[in-house]
Amino acid sequence: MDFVESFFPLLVLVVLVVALVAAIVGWRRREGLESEAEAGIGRVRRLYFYFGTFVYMIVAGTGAVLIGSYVLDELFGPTAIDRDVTQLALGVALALIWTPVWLWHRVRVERLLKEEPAERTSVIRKVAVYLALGVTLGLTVEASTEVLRWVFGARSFGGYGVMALLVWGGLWAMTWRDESLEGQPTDDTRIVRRLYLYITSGATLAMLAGGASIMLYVIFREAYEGVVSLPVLARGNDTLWSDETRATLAVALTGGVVWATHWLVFARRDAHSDMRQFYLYLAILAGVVTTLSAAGVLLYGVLQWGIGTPEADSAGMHFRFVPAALAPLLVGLVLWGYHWAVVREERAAVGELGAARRIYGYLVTVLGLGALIGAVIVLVSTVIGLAVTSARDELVGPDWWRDRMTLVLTLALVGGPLWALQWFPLQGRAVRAGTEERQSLPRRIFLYGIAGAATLTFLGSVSYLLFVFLNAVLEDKMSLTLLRDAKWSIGTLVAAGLFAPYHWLVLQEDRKAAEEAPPAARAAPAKSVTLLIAAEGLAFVPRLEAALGTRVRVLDRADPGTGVPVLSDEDIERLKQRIAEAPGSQVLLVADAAGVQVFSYR
Amino acid sequence: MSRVWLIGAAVFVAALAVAGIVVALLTTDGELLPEDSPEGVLQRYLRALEDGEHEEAYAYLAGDTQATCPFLDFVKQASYQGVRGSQMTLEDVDRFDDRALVTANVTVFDPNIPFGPEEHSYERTFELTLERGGWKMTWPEDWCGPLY
Repeated sequence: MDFVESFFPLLVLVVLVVALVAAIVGWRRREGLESEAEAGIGRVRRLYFYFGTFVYMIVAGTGAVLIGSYVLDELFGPTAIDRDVTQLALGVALALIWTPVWLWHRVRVERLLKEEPAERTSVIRKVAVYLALGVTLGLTVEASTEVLRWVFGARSFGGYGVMALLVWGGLWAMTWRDESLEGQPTDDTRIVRRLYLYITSGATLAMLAGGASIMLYVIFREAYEGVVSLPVLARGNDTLWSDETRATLAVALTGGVVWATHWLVFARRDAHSDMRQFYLYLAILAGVVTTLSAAGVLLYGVLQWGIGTPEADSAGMHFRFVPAALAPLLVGLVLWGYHWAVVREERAAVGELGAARRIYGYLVTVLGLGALIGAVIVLVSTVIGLAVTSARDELVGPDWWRDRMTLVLTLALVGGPLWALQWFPLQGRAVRAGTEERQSLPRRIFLYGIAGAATLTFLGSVSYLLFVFLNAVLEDKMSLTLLRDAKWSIGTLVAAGLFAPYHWLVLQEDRKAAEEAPPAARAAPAKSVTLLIAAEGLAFVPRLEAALGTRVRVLDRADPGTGVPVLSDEDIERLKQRIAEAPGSQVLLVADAAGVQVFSYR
Repeated sequence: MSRVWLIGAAVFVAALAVAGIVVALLTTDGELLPEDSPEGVLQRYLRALEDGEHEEAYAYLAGDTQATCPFLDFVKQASYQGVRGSQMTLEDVDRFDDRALVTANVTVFDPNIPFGPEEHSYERTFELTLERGGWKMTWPEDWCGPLY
């Protein structure tokens, strides 16, 4: 029963992926992006063979790992008084039954591929292949970490790590070699490959960065304790070469190797990909967040020593936090700087994806704005606290406000420049680029998001304060305590009151600029375009999509002998104009040898 | 118009910060309460603890409490129950002949960078007893520490 239960997570994963793929393929067919009569072996058969082969491979591989790890433990592992043979029995059962089934399906799939070359273009096939690559790579990474821990002396020998590394690493290498030979002939199959590459790069970069940060922290801490001569009475396991440090090094090394092979080698010729640009800006954002968080901790600590109320009496004790903040600061700076350099390099070579850059800009603006809002909330609550406290006797902690003002200063010094350095260039670009920037989706989401959230917060805070006030009046409990309890809500109210109107005013300016812009400069509302055309006219679709700048839903016309239109570039421009002028938000194009008729509907 | 609002908001925040600091410097001078009052004794006791003056703080304990709480045990507990980082304001004083209850509001603040500050408040009541004409801190017999 345990054995059956152990496969539930894998089955759930496969069912989820299959359901997701089926839903996406179904949606693509409804949208006309994928032909119903797709060449190949058929959807259900394809789903069974590809995902079935994946499951059989994983189960057979698990059997091999169990057998191999038992044998290795017997030969090289620590002496066991009574070794459990259940693992061996289970491994033999799995390997004997599932390996032939997997091999038969694998051979069958290879034969299908030879019989139906169009299978190479199947998105379902590619999802199954890259799912197998992702799962085997994840298991290889885990095994590699275990083996490195043993190599570094952080644990005793374990057969599982070595065998899992061999089996899962071998299966990953075999699948990767087959996939590399097969290639990715269509945009859709290349998207699946990119998803695998960038998700793997991101995950392993996090392993590398996290591991490096902890390693640096341990080194800096040792150096700090040495420099300031902190009296350390007992070290415990907290040394430079402790088991934890060695385990961290194993994680960082494994992550580093996989990241280097996937990012530096496999993805190196993908500079023109949109997904790569989103990945790069996401990595930059991670670097920005890490750097600024660490910088905030450092700045607060320094300011607290100068103007706050530090708990420690000596500087050596107070600044003990420096190693823990300096390590992520350096790692964040490296992440930020490296990915920014890659963006600049690739921008010069292949151009830049405006959407990725724009989304990044508004996200960083949100971060800076968040810090500024935090500064205002803490400032207002502190001032109210001061007013209340001045009317009461203080028993202890008369300098309580100093740490709060230190926090206000820290948030303002970190958030202010971050916000200003992003927001004002974005505003400048909005003025220069006009409606294209002002009406861009990221900007509208940002402005409406901030204005909406601030308005909701404002109304919520007003409602809460009114409730608290009325409740106190009706219960005859009006006192300064009321103000003290409500000071955070009042701070939130003031912050919302400052920032909501500002963003509403910017929205009004955007709207006014769009109204005043000449009609040609106004962004035409996007229309949903459907094209009814015979199969032999599909070559026309990419030209039309390029002219419209959007995807076109294609319906395969079944009427015989309708023919296909022959259109020049001027004809396509005229067609684009007719689509733009059509009154409805949705347009149906009917194409035949006589030309293209335009019908619009709502 | 948005630029005008932005400048106005910045000026308002700056003015608020300056006003807050001025109020703080003028009002939080650490003035002591009368020494012969329960709240005055409690204030001196807490400030001695805050400054790490354990002998002075211990001297504010009643004789019965000192008898059940040796000085070194008191100091050991004080290292775990510090009052640094807390703000306490006087809420209420109730006197019953030779006994008194003093209620304080305690506020603990944590800057918690980068996830946002946290603050929580609670009330703590101290018991004092009149001993040889002066107010002294008193704990239950089974307790030995700076705060109860």
